[in-house]
This record gives sequence, C-alpha cells and structure tokens, in this order.
Amino acid sequence: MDHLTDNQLLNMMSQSALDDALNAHLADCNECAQRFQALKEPWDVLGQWTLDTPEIDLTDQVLSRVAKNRSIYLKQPQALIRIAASIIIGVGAGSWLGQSVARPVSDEQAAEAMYLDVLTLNSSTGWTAPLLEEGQE
Amino acid sequence: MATWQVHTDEHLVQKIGKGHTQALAELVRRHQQRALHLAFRSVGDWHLAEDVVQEAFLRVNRAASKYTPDAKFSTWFYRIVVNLCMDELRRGQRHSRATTQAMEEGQSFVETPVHAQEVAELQQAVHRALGQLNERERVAVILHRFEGQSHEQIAEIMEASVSAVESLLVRSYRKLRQILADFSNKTPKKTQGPGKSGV
Repeated sequence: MDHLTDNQLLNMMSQSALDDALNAHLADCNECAQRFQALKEPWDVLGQWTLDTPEIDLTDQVLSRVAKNRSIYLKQPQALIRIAASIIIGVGAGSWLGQSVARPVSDEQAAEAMYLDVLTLNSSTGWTAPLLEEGQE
Repeated sequence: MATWQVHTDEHLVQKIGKGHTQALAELVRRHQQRALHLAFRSVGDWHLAEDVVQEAFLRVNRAASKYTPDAKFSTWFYRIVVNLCMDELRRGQRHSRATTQAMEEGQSFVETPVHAQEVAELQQAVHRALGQLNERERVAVILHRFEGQSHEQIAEIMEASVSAVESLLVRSYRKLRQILADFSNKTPKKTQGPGKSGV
C-alpha cells in the first residue's frame, strides 16, 4: 500500500473511529505513523482548551444598532432634500439675477452710463468746445 | 417570535432582506455562540470577539436584500466572521496584545485555585502557539479543530482550494507540534470567560 496522504491523515485525526485498512497501514508503516503522530499531538493539546460559554446575548445590541443605522438612513433623505432645495433655490436665484443683468439697454441709457454726453456739442461741461473751435480754424 | 424558529437560515436571510427585524434576531440567537467562540479563539479577547460578531450580523443585515441562497448561510456567515477576525489580527496584532493583557490582569480563567497554574500555563501556551501562526493558518486550525469544519467547508469559508487548505493545516499542525511539545501529555482543562458562567 502507498503511503497515506495528508488528507487521509487529517481525516483520521479528526475522526474518532479509524478506518481498519488505514489503521493497519499505520501499524506497519513507521513513516506514516510518525507523520500521523506529528499531527495528532498538537491536535490533542488544542483539544484541552475548551471554553465555557459566556452569558452573552447579542440580540438586543445587534437590533439596536440596526435600528440606529436605519434611523440614520431615514434622516439622510431629509438632508438630501434640504441640499437639493438649496441648489434649486441657488440656481433659480442666479438665473433670475442673470436675467436682470442681461436686460436690454437702450443706446441713451448706455451713453448716459458712460458719461458720453460730455462729448456732445451742447455739453454743459464745455470740454469739447476748444476742439471744435480748432477744427473751424 | 416562535414562528421564526421553523424557518431555515436561508429563508430568514430573505426575510431580513424584506425588513423583518425579528428574522435577524432569530439568526443571532442561532449563530452567536459559535461565532463568539470562533472570534474569541481567533482574536483572544471577549469584548473584541463581541464587536466582531455584532459587525458580522450587521453585514448580514445590510447584504440580506442581495443574498441569493446558492451557498449555505453558515458558510457565508462564517466567511464574514473569519474575514473580520483576520482584519482584526492584521490591525496591530491585537491577538497577542489582548492575550498578554488578559494574562497580566489575571482574568478568572480558572475554576478552582488547585488548577490555576496548569490552566494558566495551558492558556498561555495555546494562545502563544496560535499567535505564532499567521492569520490564515490560525483561522484554518480553529475552524478545523474547534469548529469541526470539514476541509471542503474550510476551503469554502476561506475561499481557497481544498488542497491548499490541507497543506495549510498540515503545515500549521507541524508548527504547533514544535511549539506545544511540552504540553502533549497534560490532562484536560477548561477555560472560562471572564466573569461568566459555563453551560
């Protein structure tokens, strides 16, 4: 019989009842017996570490955290609505202001805004009079 | 509440996905103890283990609406717990720190003063031995030795091939044999959680 595989050794270790054929091989094969022992020793030591179950019930804690998370999610849409409303108001206001600024302006209004009236012949400032006189000469 | 007890785990998850909180409560009741043991053995601290298990259930709750029952719930759930444990272990090696702290603070692991020293020795030895394995080796051994998972189940939980898991286990047990050689012939002992009573 071929040597036992690691898988077979691991399975033998974790099973209380050993397969007869495999057991017979272990009895005859020193190499496999040593490999088996190398796995079995730590397995047995670890088995001595048993835990008493602590009196912990996480049900209420988990449910309260779920409820808390849910309330956060429920609050989030309100925040989103506020943000969306702010954006709409901002865009609307900006658009309205833009329209106000871009309102058509008459030539007279533009000239007045630029004080172009000072250049006219009848300007009360009289700034253009000397220039006009030079031209006439 | 009693009606939830007849449902399978997979059915409960589907109910959770539809907003049935009591279905989650039933799942917590069913799986918390094993998950706590797995987490405690992995991270070495009860409070940290509680955090890990709570977070695992919250993740189940979040993912429930997308859950498709292709795999067993327990496999999916233990994969979540194992991943969270490995994250904790990677995050600052809390396992060894928590263990050392617990030992130094003299937690009441012992049942009677007569066994105090032996239990403490064993506790330290097992923690130290597991602490010398890397995260994957440690979790594989815990699933195999203490959770009774088959190689196939461990492979599924750890998202590895069966042959990779077997190699991992063989390597881990060989390492543990060297570390635990002095404790091979000790008598069985019991370890208690701090301030808790046994079942």
